[in-house]
Amino acid sequence: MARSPTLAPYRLRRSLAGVCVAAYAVIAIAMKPAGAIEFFPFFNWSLFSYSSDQRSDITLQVTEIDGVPITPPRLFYDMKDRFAAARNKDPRLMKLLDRWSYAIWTNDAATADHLRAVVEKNFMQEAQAANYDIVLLTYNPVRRLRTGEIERLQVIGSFEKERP
Amino acid sequence: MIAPGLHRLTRRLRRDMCGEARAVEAPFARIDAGFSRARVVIKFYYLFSAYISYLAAESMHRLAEQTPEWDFVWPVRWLAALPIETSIDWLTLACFLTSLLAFQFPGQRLFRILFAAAFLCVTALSCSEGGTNHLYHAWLWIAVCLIFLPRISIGKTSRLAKMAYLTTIAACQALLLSFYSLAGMWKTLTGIEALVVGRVGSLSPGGLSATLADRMLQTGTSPLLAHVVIDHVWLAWPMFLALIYVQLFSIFVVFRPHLHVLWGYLLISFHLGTWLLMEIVFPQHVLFLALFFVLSPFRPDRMTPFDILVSLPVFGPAFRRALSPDFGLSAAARRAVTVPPRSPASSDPAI
Repeated sequence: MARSPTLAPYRLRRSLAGVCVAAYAVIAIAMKPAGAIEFFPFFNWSLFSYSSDQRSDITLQVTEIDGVPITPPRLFYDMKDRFAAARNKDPRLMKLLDRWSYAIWTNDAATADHLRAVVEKNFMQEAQAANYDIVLLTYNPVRRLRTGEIERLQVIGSFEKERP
Repeated sequence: MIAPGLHRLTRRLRRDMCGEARAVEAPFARIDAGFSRARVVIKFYYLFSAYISYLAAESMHRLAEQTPEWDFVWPVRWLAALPIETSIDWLTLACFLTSLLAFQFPGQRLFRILFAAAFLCVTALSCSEGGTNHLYHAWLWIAVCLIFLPRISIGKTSRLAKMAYLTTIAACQALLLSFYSLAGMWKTLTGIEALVVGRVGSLSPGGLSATLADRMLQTGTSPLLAHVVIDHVWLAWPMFLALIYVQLFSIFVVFRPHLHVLWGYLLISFHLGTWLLMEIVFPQHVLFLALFFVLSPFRPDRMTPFDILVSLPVFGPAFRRALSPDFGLSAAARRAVTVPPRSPASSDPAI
């Protein structure tokens, strides 16, 4: 049966629409750079996909602020009295720390130094000077929530935010 | 030889995606009705865009004040060469003004392009503090899709132009629902992997509890209902499985107009759940779900529970069999649920 030529542009639009939607998914999945969350603005929408009773989390452990030692050291997000980002529960810091630790792990010094500056200047601006570690925590989330138990704490690197 | 085979394959795929629902009646009248509704949806999209841009102007201004060190993503790298705080204010102002222009003149592609470009920059800015923020992504992609709306003549619009217009809206819906399907796909894949290796995962009873507890620990939040769900695994498990079902099969809903309203509300409920259980809000997502699905241009004027049940992905055929007159229903129930013969639903999103 012959196809109507007047419908050709419409059919083309319909086919292209399908191809573009499929292309988005392919680009979002295939082109995600290593260590990054997305190839902006193509996001693969992997949000809270991974559930497990054994979790690891990269976070900051603060050991000294403005010359005053903190004993025992405290995790950044527990310091709501001190840091606005902890008070505001800013999730961007978590993603930033993942990128920073990946840069340290791959010996990408330029990226690591840049991301360290972003962390110190944006998220630790309430402290003039600070000593802190970037740490990898391993724990059972439900047990840690109920009892505070952390199974393992591994220091990835120790840093000092110097006075300006 | 390949072309007819490919055509048959894609046709069958589209039919399968359309499911078991009745074909719509009076398709040409539905094009007119759908087109009118679609124009209202577009108007409201740009109105809400103006509202979102107005709010973004304030939040971006604060962000600029509080951010001494940027990690600009590619669309806004050029800002590094300019006075950042004032440039950001001008950028958000441009976003607000272009959204108003697109609202007033939705037929002008230039204004739609300008808004999409400005909103791309605002979205990029919100991701330029080192960590990604997905608040604006879906809204941005709608703006990108709407660039491709066909030109509509002022006088009488041809049926073909209306169909092209509706196809662009359907593509927009497909892209939005593909985001949810991708989210469901990752949860399913990691869940299957966990089952294979024998540990707790998305598909196992403790999956949601572990995710919620982990989120609370990472951010120090105390969501309203999180503890209840963490402590009652047998409540959490079916909830999480239902969520994965709704997300994973979202893409099928594009082709099943009887489900547009239901899925719109289900996904809005999901975003309510992310607030109640994780203190994560996606207000823009609630808006576009209401606009593009609850008020979908393709939603049927009349729907019966039967239409909805038989349209459900995976479970639809079982409902059709269970509700068919030969399946042991009482006479009263049979009268209440009249089962029409299955006719091939149109695979054309515009009809």
